[in-house]
Amino acid sequence: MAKNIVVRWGGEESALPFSKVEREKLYGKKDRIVVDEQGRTCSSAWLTADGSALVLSGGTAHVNVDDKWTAYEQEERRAVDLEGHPLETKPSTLGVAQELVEASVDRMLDCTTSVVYQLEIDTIGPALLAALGAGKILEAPFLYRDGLTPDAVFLLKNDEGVFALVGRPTGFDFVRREALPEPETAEQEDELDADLDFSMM
Amino acid sequence: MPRLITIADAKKRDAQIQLDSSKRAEPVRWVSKSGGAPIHLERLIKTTDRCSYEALLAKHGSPEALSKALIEGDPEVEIEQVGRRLGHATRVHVGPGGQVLYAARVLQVVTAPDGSEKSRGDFVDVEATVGEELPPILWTGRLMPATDVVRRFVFVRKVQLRHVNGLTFDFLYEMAKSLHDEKKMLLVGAGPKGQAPLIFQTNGSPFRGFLEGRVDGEAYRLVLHLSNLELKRVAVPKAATDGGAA
Repeated sequence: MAKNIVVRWGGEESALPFSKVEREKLYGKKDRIVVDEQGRTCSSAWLTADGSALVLSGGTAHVNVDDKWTAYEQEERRAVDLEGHPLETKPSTLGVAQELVEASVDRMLDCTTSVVYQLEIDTIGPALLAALGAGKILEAPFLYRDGLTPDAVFLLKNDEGVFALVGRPTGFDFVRREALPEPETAEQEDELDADLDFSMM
Repeated sequence: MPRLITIADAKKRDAQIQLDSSKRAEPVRWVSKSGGAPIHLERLIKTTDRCSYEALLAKHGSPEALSKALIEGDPEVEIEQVGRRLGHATRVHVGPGGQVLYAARVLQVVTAPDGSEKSRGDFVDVEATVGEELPPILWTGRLMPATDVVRRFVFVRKVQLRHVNGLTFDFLYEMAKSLHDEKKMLLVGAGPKGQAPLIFQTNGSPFRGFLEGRVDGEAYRLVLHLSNLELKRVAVPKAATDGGAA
């Protein structure tokens, strides 16, 4: 059974079943397909550089290997930063109550949304529903599966219902005018004060 | 190399400015837990067209004969190819009979939300509407409160607008300040009336754009928020509440 987004607001816990909102479910989709001369749908494949093999869709696999070509399973590896320091893997937040905090519109605009989920109003606790109904945007950490950096999930309500938007900060900074170098005039004599020699030109 | 676009302000003056994408997450490397050996991903060949069910069925004549061959040996494994690095392979199209196509026709199929096919026709390239040499993104004057915008649209991509010289600093600072003072976001678009979607590359995704500006003393932050999705409910059966991958 799928786990829920579990959040706590005002001491009240809500377990929220969720379903993904996608473009194709709202608007349909446009696909590019390739057909042969008879109009029959064709598939794509890879032809190896030496021409010895034609690899159909699904005919490849990604494997974690070291320089000696020893293969490793996912659980046999760990993440490190560029200096080699270990990075902590955090567990999925699904099914685990996360404390909600109020977020500003600016905070939400500072994040790029990667996934949108729709929530069912009848599963939301009264205190949380009241806060969302009052126009509050609430935020909690979110990791769909175990990972290194949690995203942020924003809960908000509009005329259509209640939604959870998963986002990650853009990291955009304020930008300033770059200062031009100061003209070196302090201790230099003004060239225009000196006699201008036109004969050299 | 920075990407340049042209944008116009409320006074209909246009200028070329720079676009910056979001910062990437901190780089991560993977090492083995046992010895700390650096690990990387390799794409390897698992099976080839000669080992597909159809190919094996054609070779052995019947499902029964194929079953027998599978029990007695490994006809589904092409030992010379399995485990090879895919490397710089060439993308090709394969017909229903497994033959490589030398001439192909690309179609665009439009499907409704219920999965029914709405139309089918030859695919035509859709040109970019935003770029260095293209007409400017127009200041439409259509301002919307940010509190409403975040409840109506999903911003799936964002780019920061940055100046390229002192003159464009003033140009963008003024745009950011006017939006900051209004506490509103500006709907922007391409085309002569600013109503066409923003497309940043040929056959790229079309977006609606909202410009948001903030100032902090002598600094500014002007961000173009891009949306291709409204915050609307999708009709789903009660039982189907599986979240799907994030």
